[in-house]
Amino acid sequence: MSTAMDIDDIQRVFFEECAEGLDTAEKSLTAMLGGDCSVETIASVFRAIHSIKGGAGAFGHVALTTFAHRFETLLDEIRSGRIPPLPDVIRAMLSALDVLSDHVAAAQSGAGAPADQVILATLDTILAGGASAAAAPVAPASDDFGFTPVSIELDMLDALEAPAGGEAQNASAARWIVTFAPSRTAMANGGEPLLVIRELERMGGVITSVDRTALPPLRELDPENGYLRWTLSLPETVEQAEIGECFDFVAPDSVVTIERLAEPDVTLPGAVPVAANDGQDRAETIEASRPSEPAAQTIRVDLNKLDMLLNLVGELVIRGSILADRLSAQEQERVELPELSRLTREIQDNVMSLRAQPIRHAFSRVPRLLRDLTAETGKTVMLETSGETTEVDKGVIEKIGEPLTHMIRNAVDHGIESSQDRLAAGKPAKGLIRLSAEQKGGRILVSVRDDGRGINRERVFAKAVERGIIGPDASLSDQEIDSLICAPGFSTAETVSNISGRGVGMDVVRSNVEAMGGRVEISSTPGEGATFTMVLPLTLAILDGMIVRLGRQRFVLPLANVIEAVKPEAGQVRPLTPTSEVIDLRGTYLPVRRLGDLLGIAGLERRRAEDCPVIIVESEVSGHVGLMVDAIDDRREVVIKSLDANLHPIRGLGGATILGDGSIALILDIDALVATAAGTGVRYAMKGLAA
Amino acid sequence: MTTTTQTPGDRKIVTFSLDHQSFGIDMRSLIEIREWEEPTPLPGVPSYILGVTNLRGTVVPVIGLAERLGWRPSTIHSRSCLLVVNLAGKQAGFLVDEVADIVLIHDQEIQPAPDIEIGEPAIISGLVKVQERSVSANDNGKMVLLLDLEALGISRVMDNAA
Repeated sequence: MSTAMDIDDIQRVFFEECAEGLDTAEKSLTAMLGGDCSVETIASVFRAIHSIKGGAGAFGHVALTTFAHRFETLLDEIRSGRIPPLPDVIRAMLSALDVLSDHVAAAQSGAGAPADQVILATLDTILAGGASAAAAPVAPASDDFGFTPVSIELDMLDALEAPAGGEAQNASAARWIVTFAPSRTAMANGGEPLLVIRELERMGGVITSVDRTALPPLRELDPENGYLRWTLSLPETVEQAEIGECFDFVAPDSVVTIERLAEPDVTLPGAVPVAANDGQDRAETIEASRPSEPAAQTIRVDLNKLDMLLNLVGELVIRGSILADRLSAQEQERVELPELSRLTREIQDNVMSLRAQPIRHAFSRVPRLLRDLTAETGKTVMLETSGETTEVDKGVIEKIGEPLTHMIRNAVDHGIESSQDRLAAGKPAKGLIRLSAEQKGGRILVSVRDDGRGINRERVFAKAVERGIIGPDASLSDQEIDSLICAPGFSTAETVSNISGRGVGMDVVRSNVEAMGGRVEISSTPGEGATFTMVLPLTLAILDGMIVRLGRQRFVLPLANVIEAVKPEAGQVRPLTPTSEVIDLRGTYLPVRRLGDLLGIAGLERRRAEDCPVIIVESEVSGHVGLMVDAIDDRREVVIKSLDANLHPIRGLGGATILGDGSIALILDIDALVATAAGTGVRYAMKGLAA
Repeated sequence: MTTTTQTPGDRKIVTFSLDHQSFGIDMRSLIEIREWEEPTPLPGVPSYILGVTNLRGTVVPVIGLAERLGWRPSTIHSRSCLLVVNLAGKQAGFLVDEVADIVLIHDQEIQPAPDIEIGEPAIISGLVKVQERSVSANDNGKMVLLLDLEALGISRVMDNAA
């Protein structure tokens, strides 16, 4: 509204950029510590710091500007090659980056500037004296730096600019190993190997060895022939295709191999090995050097903006179908509506994919969890994962964590046997848990499979009877018994262990998964293991639904709850009491509820049962129930609009959606709806629908 | 969207009628005024929540303001409209009988509402006398009840409903 607010907005963007800049700088500095001191890497640090300085200056963050400026000065020296990027210098810069980050935080919160004297002194020391000063970065500045360090500096400079020193020095930056054995007759055919080697050297290649074994005695040597085999190493930053191009014109029978060295050598050029910091640094090095491949560029976006975009696109889709409703087929063609709809759908898919993330994010904490669990139970378990790159909506990833944890716990605690038991059963001592994700149609299947003892059906049955979940004479299929595990409060752990058996477990999994519009499938083979699969929607924003009509209003039934739809014949639906009915479904009597009664809609015409379709739905509390509606319209995916964005959640409703004609259809929450009816009877009053 | 070129102490209000009474709300909370359109009814809510409507892709509740305030429920006619407002980040549409005017008032013209016989005094934040443009100059002006719709709290309304 006011200008002050605009500046706030711009500032917010500035701080977002700062966060990104700090991130980039840290990655690049880490890469430099790992030996990648390429011009681009140094430049990326410089750019990041420079833009932070620029922005800070524009907003008058003096302390931040001053500090960034000093930092930038050092980077400039390094960029121009006047100061070599020794590990200690880089480490000092990493410390400086921490302080810079504090400065940014201080500028953002308006707090006082952090203490930066010590690090500034270190930077000054490096600037004044160069390398050896940096070797003691903590030491405050002292002015008597002579010329001695300079010679080291120059050495390092050489190493940086012309990495043509000894073999050992270059192994670090070189990740491509190229061997080149020109054919004997290469030169006769106009292929000059030296040109190729020069080209490779221009790209930063270095000859690491020359195989001379094919060289004949001098007497037999034909100077026109090639006898040598060169091995060169090239920095990883060079594209493989670029290397390949060098060999475009060599004789066809020359031998060329281009290999990628898997394990980078972290030894720095002639300097103190970084390995002083042991394995952790090393892991970071590998991680950090990866982005210098042609990595996908990313941008940070406020999730709200994304959701707003998704909303707008959803609206666009709806408007599109309104247009389609109103225009004749001929008119649609004339205004190229089909083309427009296709584009709109494509935009919608793309926007939706913006929220997608690989499920790896949810899987990543499982190994840790498993380590804790095995430590606690003394069982040994291996983990195998697959499908980690399967992409799902961010919302799903956030909500999948808890059920996944329970499933893993369940597998370790109840599924996998102790090593002795396993050996006795003729299985390997180590248990195996397979965690997998895959996309199947519009759903994501996440399963946890163990090779443990499987579900002990007798015990589950006995326990369910004991807990009053089922009657002692209930006749259940194996599958039905298995699914009892998900009944509220059910636990088969013989002793209440630390891990599970606290009365929470699979029932939590089931309710969490169902809250996401999914379901849990269980399969088990006694003695061989069990598989628990979560069948989840791809996105929480879209629901696969059945659109039903009641009077003038339309409702959406989540397809996950729908078992089947029946058009009853005369006599198939019979009254049980004056207000309740049952349907005879292949010999089983299921309760039937009129949706209008459940929702408390008054004034609806009470139609004959055989004129109304009955949809058999599954609810957690009441099992299978038939819902009687006026008509079934359609089956389609709907975009879920939450009611509680502007209102409170309403019992019995899972949200709302906007249909093609712009009208609203309410999404039914079957469990809540049926449970309410079962518990307290119908007491909803609904106004105005029949009017 | 609302131009706020007013000095502190001034405020623009939009006045409207409910059951022949004049009411006003602060322009700053108003998003738009819409033509009446039959909302989609909701189950299990108090009768003054008339349902939900589609406001450019957002599902927004529609509240019968007269009924909510205890006046006779509005009957729909050609000048019925919805005041769509933003209340602490939530949006809602309020059904009113007729929108009258947009007037500039000064804070010192606002009298506190006497707290007699008003069920929820916080909702009526004050009384103000407004001269109507259309009427003759010797008209005494009419009393406008300033409403603080935020105090009405749509979500609290829903809590009470449960």
